[in-house]
Amino acid sequence: MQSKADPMPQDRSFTFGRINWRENIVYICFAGVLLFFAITIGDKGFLTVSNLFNIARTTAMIAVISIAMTFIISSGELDLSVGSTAALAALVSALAIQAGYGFVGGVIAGLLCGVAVGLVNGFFVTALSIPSFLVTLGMMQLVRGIDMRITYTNPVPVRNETFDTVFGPGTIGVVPTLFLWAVAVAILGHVVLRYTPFGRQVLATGGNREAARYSGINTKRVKIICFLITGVGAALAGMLWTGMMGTARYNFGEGAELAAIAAVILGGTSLFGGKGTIIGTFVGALLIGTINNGLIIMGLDVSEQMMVAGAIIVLAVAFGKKPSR
Amino acid sequence: MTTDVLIMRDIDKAFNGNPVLRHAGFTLRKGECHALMGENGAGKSTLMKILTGVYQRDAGTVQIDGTDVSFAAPRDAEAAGIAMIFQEFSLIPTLTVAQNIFLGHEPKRGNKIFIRDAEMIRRAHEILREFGENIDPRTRVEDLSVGAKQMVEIAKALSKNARIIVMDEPTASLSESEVETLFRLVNQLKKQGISIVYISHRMAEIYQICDRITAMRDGRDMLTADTSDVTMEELIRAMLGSDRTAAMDWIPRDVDMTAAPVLEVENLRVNGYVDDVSFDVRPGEILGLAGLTGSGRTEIVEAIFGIRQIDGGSVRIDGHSVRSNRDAIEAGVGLVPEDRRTQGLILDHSLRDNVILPNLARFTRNLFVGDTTARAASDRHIADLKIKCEGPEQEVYLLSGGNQQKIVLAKWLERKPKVLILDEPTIGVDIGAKSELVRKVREIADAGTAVVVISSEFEELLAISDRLLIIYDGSVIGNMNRKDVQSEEALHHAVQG
Ligand SMILES: Nc1ncnc2c1ncn2[C@@H]1O[C@H](COP(=O)(O)OP(=O)(O)OP(=O)(O)O)[C@@H](O)[C@H]1O
Ligand SMILES: [Mg+2]
Repeated sequence: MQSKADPMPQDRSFTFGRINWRENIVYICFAGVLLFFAITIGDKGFLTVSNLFNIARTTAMIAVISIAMTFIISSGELDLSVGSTAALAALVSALAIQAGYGFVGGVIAGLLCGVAVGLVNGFFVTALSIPSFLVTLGMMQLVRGIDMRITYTNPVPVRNETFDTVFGPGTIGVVPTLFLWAVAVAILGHVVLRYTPFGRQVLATGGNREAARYSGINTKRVKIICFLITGVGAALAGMLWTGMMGTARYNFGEGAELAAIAAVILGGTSLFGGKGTIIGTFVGALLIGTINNGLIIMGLDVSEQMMVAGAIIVLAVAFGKKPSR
Repeated sequence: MTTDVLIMRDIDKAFNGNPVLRHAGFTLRKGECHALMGENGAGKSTLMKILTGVYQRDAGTVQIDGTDVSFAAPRDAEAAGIAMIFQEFSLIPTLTVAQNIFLGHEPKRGNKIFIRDAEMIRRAHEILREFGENIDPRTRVEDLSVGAKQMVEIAKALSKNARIIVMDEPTASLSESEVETLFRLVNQLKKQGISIVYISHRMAEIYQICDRITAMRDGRDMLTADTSDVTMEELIRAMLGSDRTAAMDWIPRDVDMTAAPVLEVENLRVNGYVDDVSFDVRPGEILGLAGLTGSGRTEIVEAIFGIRQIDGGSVRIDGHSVRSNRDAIEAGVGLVPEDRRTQGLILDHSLRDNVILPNLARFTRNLFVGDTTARAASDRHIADLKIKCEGPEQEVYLLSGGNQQKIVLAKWLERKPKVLILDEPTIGVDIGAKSELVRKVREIADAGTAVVVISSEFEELLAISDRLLIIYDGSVIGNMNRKDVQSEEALHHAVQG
């Protein structure tokens, strides 16, 4: 996934009026989906403040993972191990708190899990040049196995006031704390990717690794840092899950890697690297969360929800795609 | 024998409202090799992409054998016997030569489902042998040299019975012997009645193999004439306009040869490429590396830049040893690499983002990259190097080949390096811009930068260098002052070993 074919010059104009559909597909979709649900199920509780906050709260974890994922995808790699890492961090931090290390100790232990997985991924991908798809696919399994073994699949309850306030399902003012976490991570991610030298290095590495190298960029270091970002992002998401549920479970984040990749690509980031947008990703995650919520309120059962949500994702990506040569 | 197989008239084309072609015309006779020349961004490639169905024209007519045609896609043009050989090859590296040649029109068995492999290889072999090429159709394309890849491209065109072949800067990355092979092939194709459109910025080549020339400027055809009827001066004036020159004369410069060298290379060894190479460059000096393709020039400069593993010897900048790419860049070495598409540019990023990439630290204020200063710097380079584009935000892949090359230069000029290395800096750059580049490099050297230039165009190398190293088979076999080199021929002779 590192070197890709040259893009073929093409007429770029695919505008309707003044809106560029292709680049803004995620915002258009989001607006469309909101409008659709507002009209069809507005009176069934979709539009209530508590439901909207509910969407915001349940989407926060996927949003955080997706934002981290935007970095690794922009650098031309992929990380499938985020879901398992989230559960690992959730369990380890909960166990640390249980063992009396307190809030700070628990959080540090959780984040270190993310760092560890990130370093392993980064090492195998950069030092041994193994495709990240394979490395992280293996890590996804391996770490999930660890998750199951640590407590023999038993949940670990967390009783710690600070943890509850910081990561819990409560609100600050009127806004759910979990959502504030997602917003904070999004702002940080956006600023780093868009405005710092590191962000440029990530995009350059994903855009053309060889040219980035010739420009003096240490592309291996950039990739390792990106894996650390996904690891730490996943760990944070894991603790948010614990906070929301009050308990850490081995099965947190199952399927989160795919939801996150969908959010990133929906948002307009190139799957091949070189182009990334955090705001797009954030809205992409909200879009997926909203669709899931609306479909439940509409009374669809799980199988139907999956079919509709899957179809919407495929269609949105299809519309957002550049025209083929 | 002057039948026109192709007539293009009054072709207009605009991108995003910017006109690129304005009433451009072009005619092609049966069995001729017709040069298409013009400045970078004049519209040569665009005109040919309209002919081959890659782009659609806004206005104008195209006639093939007297009938009006309009191609919606490249395969329509192909069906009408027109093939284009792009500079960026369109071969699939992991497939074999034969599979590539017959891609999409493989010979099938009676049932129309299975490919007749043996037949395909036999026919591929036949086509390749016809023009004297000894390429095994079963080799994978990725294992071929650039020249051989081009032969395969041409074979692919012939396998589809192409009658018109467009070659867009075909010799840009070929070695001397590969160029000769190509020219032999062109002559053979002409004899078979195949017409060739030959886009190139190399005057000498044009006069050597083209029958007629069309010169374009600003999207218009300014002149079409028999090669024998038009002088080089007339041609340059048609392309550049009367107010600009393309002079490539050597100007002796004063370099303080007693100063301490900035760059010292000692007993440099890169296994398989470079054997025991030593030389110094002083501040303000321009050193030319002359040699044949494959003589190890690129490997020497990559080793200096720290991007290629050294197996022996040392590289020092200002007396400090350089061991990695990071050391080299921090010590102030800049390298304009040979291949702009893979090494020089991030094609789908903007001009501005490309220019600042090696200079991120300089454009960073309080942790953040300053977009406004980056923009201002890009604007300056656009004006300085006359880069034809819509602005600093335009993606690089939309620019013409020569203008892309100028951006690679801008990246490193912006860095104001202590040692500037240029590896084939003028590939695809038009003659007007070449002479501007020579001037620019002198200016940089006058300001104290040590410059190392590699170029396969000896005219350019002789115009620019104060001193020349002759590289042969990985070793330095000559070190001469520019004033002691009498002529281009002498240099040609010297590099043969
Ligand atoms: N798809 C596109 N979108 C926008 N502008 C384009 C596109 N394709 C070409 N152009 C512009 O059209 C102009 C002519 O480009 P073209 O590639 O035809 O030049 P050229 O004569 O082949 O130059 P060179 O000698 O550098 O290859 C350039 O200024 C280029 O930036
Ligand atoms: Mg061109």
